Amino acid sequence: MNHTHTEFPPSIRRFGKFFSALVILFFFHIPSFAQEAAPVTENRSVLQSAVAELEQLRGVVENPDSSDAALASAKVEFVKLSKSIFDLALAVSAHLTKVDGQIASLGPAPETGALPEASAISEARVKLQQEKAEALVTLKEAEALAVTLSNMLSDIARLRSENFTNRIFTRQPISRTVIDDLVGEYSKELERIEFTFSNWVRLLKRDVSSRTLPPLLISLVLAGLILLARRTVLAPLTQRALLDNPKPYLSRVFSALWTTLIPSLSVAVSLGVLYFTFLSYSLLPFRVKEIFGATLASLALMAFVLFLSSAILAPGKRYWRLFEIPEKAALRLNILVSAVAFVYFGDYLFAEIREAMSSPVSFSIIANSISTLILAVFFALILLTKLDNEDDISGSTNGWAHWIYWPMWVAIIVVVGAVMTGYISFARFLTSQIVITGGIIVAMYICFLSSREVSHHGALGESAFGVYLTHRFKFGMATIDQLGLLLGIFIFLTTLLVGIPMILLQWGFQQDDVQSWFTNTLGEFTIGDTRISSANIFLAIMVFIIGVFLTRIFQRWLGSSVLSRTRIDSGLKNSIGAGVGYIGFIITALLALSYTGIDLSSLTLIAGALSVGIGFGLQNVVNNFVSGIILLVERPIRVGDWVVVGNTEGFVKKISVRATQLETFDRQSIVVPNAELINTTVGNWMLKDKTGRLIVEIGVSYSANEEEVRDILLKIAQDDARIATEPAPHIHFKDFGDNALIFEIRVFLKDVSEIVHVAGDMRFRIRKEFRNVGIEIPFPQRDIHVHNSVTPAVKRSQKGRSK
Amino acid sequence: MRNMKVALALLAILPMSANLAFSMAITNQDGEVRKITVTENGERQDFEIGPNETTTLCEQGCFITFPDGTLTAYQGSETIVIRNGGPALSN
Repeated sequence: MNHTHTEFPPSIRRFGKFFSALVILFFFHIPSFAQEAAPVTENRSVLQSAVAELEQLRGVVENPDSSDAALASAKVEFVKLSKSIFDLALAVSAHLTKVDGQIASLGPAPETGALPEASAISEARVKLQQEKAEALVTLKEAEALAVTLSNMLSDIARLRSENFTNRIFTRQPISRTVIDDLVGEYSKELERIEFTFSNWVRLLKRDVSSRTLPPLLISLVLAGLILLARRTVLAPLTQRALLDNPKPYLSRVFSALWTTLIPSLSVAVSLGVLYFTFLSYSLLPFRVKEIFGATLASLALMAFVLFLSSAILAPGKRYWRLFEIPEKAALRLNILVSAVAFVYFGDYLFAEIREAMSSPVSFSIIANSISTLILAVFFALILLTKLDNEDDISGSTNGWAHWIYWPMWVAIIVVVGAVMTGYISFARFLTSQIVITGGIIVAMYICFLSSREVSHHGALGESAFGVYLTHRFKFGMATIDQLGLLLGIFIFLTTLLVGIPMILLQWGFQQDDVQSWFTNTLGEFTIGDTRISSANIFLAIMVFIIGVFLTRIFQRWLGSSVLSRTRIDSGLKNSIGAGVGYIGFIITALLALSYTGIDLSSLTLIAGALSVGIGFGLQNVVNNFVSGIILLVERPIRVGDWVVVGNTEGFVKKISVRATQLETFDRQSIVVPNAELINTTVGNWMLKDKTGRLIVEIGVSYSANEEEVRDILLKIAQDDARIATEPAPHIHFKDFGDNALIFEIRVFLKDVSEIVHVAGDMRFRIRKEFRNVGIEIPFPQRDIHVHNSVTPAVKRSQKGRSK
Repeated sequence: MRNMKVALALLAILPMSANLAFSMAITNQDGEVRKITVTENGERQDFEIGPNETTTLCEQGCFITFPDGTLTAYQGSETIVIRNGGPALSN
């Protein structure tokens, strides 16, 4: 008979998990991880060093030349100081309370004129009073410091905003003087540039073979090598074949990544090598160095943007595109974005040249105005690109999202207006914000799309990475899906956490500001008595997830490597595996909870209340659950056994955690709760072995020879192979019955489940054998005695017959 | 099953939200009006608390000067009473 392994149906598995969660709540009290207060240090020295630092920082604040960065870091220092001073004050206050208590315990001071107290006590009193006075002085100073610090903080804020306004909002209109200046200086400036340039060329030509050629050659060779690498080794990553149907989004993203990074890096590396070799061979004199460097840098940046834009927009390669836009739009956008990059980085280059040559201000004014206006035109053209299909008459935004379209138009108008009215710096600031922030937002948007894609059902499973994971760790479909969801969330959060600070930095916030934003979001904040840190919560979630996966891997390893080498029944193996899983889950949850630092003592109250209700409601189910476990461990019945429970009997088909299924001979399924199997008497024909006894009764006529009968019956019993020889078949002469001699054939069967067949076959044979030998199986016997007197009824009938 | 999960989650959040009350409570247990000076975030402000009145102030830590001259620093989650012009922890 086969023993199939037991299975926990999904609902029971979920229940098991829920039950484990309750166990955690009920029986474990997690100590809260509130952090200790600052230790009481030498108060005066701390205060003094704080005052010194304050004065130093005050110098920074009051210096009119302090940069914005310096002011920002000063602010951070002030905040830190403020906190440490307040912590000190708290500690001193606590100390003061203690001293007060000690003074009180000394008893009241003696009245004037009364007996003086013992010298020890008065000495102690004096000392304590001194301590108290000192503490009070410290507290007063701390309070004063707190006020000063807060004033300095508001000063810093005011200064920074003043600086920003001054920087951006200076008015430099294109007046008559500016244009005159430009016209006048223009030719002179050109001459200066020409002079510098020709000097440089002369320098290069002077020692061509020894100084100019080597760096050129090195750069060329390297560039050649890079090109070779790109054509051969890296080609598969950057190849984009023409496709018939869209590739999965993730593949597209990765391809875009490679097709951007690899060409950009190769250009950047080649140009960088060129620059540095020239530099090391001293071929870059003053001024040329800055201009040369700026030229190469802007070339590299332009190349990067070009590669990026064609990677994302994929003109001509529709199914590689990362946004759903029509072909014409992709083409046009690609051109426009490249144009924007050209103008933007070109403008940057010219600015560097102007700086290197110390050109007059008028040049900057004119150049900035022109470049800003051109950029504004390009922005407008970009917005006018139809992103939706030809036949969509939907919105007025050409397919752009409303929250991009309208603000951008406003920005464009503001920029143009600013240039016209002379606020060039502001216009320039705004345009560079649009360009860079736009770039960051595009990157973030792609990451968001990727995260959404990864979370889709089956998306991760189809990707190359997912396939690798499935093979390596033998994850199922559901697991890969969950992983995909997790990965999606992770990408989303990382994008936010990286993108937002980048945007903030771009908008003029200093690194310290961004860092403090960071720590405020990720770091601790106190809600009442609980100190919650979002970093800790995140960590806790990660720990939990990792723990769960580790548990599963451990379970799998246990099942495949350890348990398979034992001879434990497979049902038991399954339950061991499940048990290990639950234990791992509980441990992981405990670890994760301890990380969050949330005080769980309040939860145990709720858990206690719940447990009463649940206890009452679930007592039967829990009873069955526990009985199921006992069944699996003790195994009084196994799958395939023939059991008798009360009035029911049948074969055990399946032992689940709550109930056991029996199948009767009528093929009816009977579900018996496990508790009944444990708590009542259960008969199991096959617990020890499969043997069982069969008794066939046969009545034989009184005229038969009993010895002969016995021999025949014994022969029949011994002949059947299904009848065991040990214990030997036995013919029992049971009784002198009313009608017959009653014999019993008592045999033991090898397999008791064949009892019905064997009995039937035996009866057939008995009948045959008896017929052969002429032994009779009698009907019920009656002796009838007839009395001699002829009754009138008989006479009457005889008369009737003769008539 | 899903509703049960939601209910359990809400129940679990309840005790945690009980900790959300911040700021300090001061009760004037004297028979007359008491004036205290509170320095919070570097700003000094005077408060008057009437007899047997309770005020909440000071969310994230402050210095308080009491009528009897006691100057103490508080974290912001304590409960204090004023007795005889001076502070005492309520019990």
